[in-house]
Amino acid sequence: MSSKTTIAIIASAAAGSLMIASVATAAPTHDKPAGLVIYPKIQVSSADGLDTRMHLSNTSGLPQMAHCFYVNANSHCTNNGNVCDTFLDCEDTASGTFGSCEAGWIETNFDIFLTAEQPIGWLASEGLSVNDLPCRATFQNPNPCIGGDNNGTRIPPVEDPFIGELKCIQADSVTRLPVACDGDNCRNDLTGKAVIMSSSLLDGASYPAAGLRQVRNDGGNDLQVGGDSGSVEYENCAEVLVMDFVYDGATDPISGTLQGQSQLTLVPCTQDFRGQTTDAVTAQFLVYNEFEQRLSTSRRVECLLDSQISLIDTSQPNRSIFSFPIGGTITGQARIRGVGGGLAGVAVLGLATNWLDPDNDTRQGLAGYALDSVVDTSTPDIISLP
Amino acid sequence: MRLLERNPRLTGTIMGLAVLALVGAQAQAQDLEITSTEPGSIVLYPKVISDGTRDTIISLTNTSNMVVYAHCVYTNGIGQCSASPDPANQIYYCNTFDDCQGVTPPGSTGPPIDVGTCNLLWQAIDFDVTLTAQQPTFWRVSTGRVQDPALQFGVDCAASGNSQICPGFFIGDSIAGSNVPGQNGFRGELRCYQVMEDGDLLPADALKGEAFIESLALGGDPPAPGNGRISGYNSINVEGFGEGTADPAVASLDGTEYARCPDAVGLDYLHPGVPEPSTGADVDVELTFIPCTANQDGQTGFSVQLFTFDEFETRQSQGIPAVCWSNVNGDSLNLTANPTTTYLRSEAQQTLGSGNCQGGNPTGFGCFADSDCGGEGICNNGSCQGGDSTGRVCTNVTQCGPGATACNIPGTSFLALVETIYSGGTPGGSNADVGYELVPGTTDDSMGFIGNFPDPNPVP
Repeated sequence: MSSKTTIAIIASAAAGSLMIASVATAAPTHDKPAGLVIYPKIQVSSADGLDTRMHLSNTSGLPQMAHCFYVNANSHCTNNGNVCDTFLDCEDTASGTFGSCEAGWIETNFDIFLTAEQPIGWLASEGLSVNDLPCRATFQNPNPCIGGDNNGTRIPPVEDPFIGELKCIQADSVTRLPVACDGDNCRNDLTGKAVIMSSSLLDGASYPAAGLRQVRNDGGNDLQVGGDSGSVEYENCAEVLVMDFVYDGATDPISGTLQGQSQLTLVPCTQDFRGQTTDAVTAQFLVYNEFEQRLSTSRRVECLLDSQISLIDTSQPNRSIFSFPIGGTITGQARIRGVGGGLAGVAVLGLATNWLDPDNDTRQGLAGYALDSVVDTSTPDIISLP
Repeated sequence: MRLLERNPRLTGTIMGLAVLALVGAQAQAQDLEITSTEPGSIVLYPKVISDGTRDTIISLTNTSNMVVYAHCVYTNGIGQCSASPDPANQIYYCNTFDDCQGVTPPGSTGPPIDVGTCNLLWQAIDFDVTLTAQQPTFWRVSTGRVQDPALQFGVDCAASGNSQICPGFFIGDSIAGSNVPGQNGFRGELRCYQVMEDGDLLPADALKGEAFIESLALGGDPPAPGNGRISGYNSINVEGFGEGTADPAVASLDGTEYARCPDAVGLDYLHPGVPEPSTGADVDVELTFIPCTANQDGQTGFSVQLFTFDEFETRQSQGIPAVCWSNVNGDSLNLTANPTTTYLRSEAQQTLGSGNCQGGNPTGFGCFADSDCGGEGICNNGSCQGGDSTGRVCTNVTQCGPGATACNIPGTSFLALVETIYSGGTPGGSNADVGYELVPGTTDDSMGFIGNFPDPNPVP
């Protein structure tokens, strides 16, 4: 073997090892406390009996503060400001005219002060007012809990109906920015989960919040997620997510009568809360059925994509590549690649009585699960804070 | 050496690159994780139910572009009480000795009776799955899945016996569409190991999965309340590294071959007994613990020390003895947290000083004291090593006397899942979440499995 060949082989092995190592070292985690947690889907609809129960915990023995950002992804009518899905929801009954339904993203930020080891929770529809704080310090009771108090926490209720996301960043209580740190002294103490509850079903779809662990931080407003190892502040987002799913319309193997009807929610990791602008990511879908047959589609993720899976690629669900008539098997796998940035996501499996006719459909069950990350982003995502 | 003579600089470069490769490989090995959202080489489903009231759909996916072989093992955690004194020969299912004490037979108005001790068999059933590149697959636990192209697709289970809509092999007597009591049912766990074609372990991180636990159809059109309520969770995946393992049938969770299990697991859930905040539903929780060490030739006892924090920072701790598969109901947790609290967080830690029951019933259980062993056995906390006292039962080395070097405490790391169950007026639903790592693992575990691939007695 020539020396050049030897070098080439060893270099390839080295590069391969390091590449594998770099892939393995950075990924959004749902299994460890982190310095930044993402709840991709928060849903409220009093008309449909839906609300989201939020859980956020401090796993450390010290008080911690989280600076959080709701992103309201509702579209609104231009004529009356009502929440809408299409312009048909924007009818002015007095004049008989229609306004247009404009997509928009509204950011609302707030703070949560957690005492040592404290779990806290709230309903998205109600928020958490000062009077409801578990550890509220007053003049009469200045030390309600041993490990600190929740004073300063005010969680606003969201709009009804509401679809959106929440990001919470472990931050300094004064600057409301992450604390400058490096390596082991970086704090990663937050865990969370959300449960979308249906009052008519008494059923819930839960998912763990995606966590991005801090590896270093300069304490600035721009948080670098992934990318160059010298300046990375949080571990990478996913460039490729994998979603196992039950094809929409496929007969549920257990009940034998109900049909699958799943929802997918994706949010981009890059977000500019300071400039209030969005950087769209294109989600490319490769969909495999059990016979390894592959179909593909793509969809733009402006700020949040929340869709029945069989409406991702078409307005006719029974012609979708996510539908049982097209897929031909009960379950499938979708590989979702974010082009232009990383993605975080969650899926909710629903069982329906009539998946093609929502007016005559009776939802029977909900189950949430997180998407798996198989490839991390190679370019950094930036979250810009005010 | 000839290379060294010809070009020392070149040799240095090669050595440097070789070191780089080694460092890269070590970095990979050190970064192995137990994860629920990245593919792994061992896929664990901590809670699988098929007991006549609920059934489970298992989803297993190959995320790689190569054919993947998986060797899977069910472990049934349901036990049966040893006595059945009533004329109807009622079977009483149990998980612990206490489940067989003070039981009220169905329809009885008499005082509670004791129905013996809990016979836990931990029956393991193994089978194999082959997945083509990027292939997803699924099966229903009560029926399994068959590989028979002659079977009609989409035909109802009862009509065809087996089909793709009702795939697989039979664990219990549960029948789709009926509400069969949990006879010969299944409550336990499932582990799938990525293996080579010959059955040797292959830590190549290609597998992932989900489980959906669904209430069985109650009939009616529209379906009756409670029909089709589902809990879904991501499988827990153990990452591995390398082209093989030192022992082809034993996975070492030592941080080198496979990821270590955590020393402490966190769980967030609602306080059982309080109304669910948005719906007002009654809330119950079930915590499920499975040991990381899986010795298919014997039982694995372990003990969980559970520290629970509420919103008011109140903390309580308790010990939970367990073996193989432990499913603890909220009532059994005996939580004394502030009754006005809604949200809880538990830290489940491996208990140092815990042992395994020896003799009596149930043998093999994790224990803190002899009283945990059914009153008949002893809690074998450890065995002395060194000196004249080698082998003597101990809880610490000072009990072993002169010459002893250690008191070896049996124990294992574990993984956890919490399921929240809603009810009130009508049958409700549930949701499930796997626990998260609070303290990285420091102790090694191993998982051994039975059978080789291809299985001489393949389960369809």
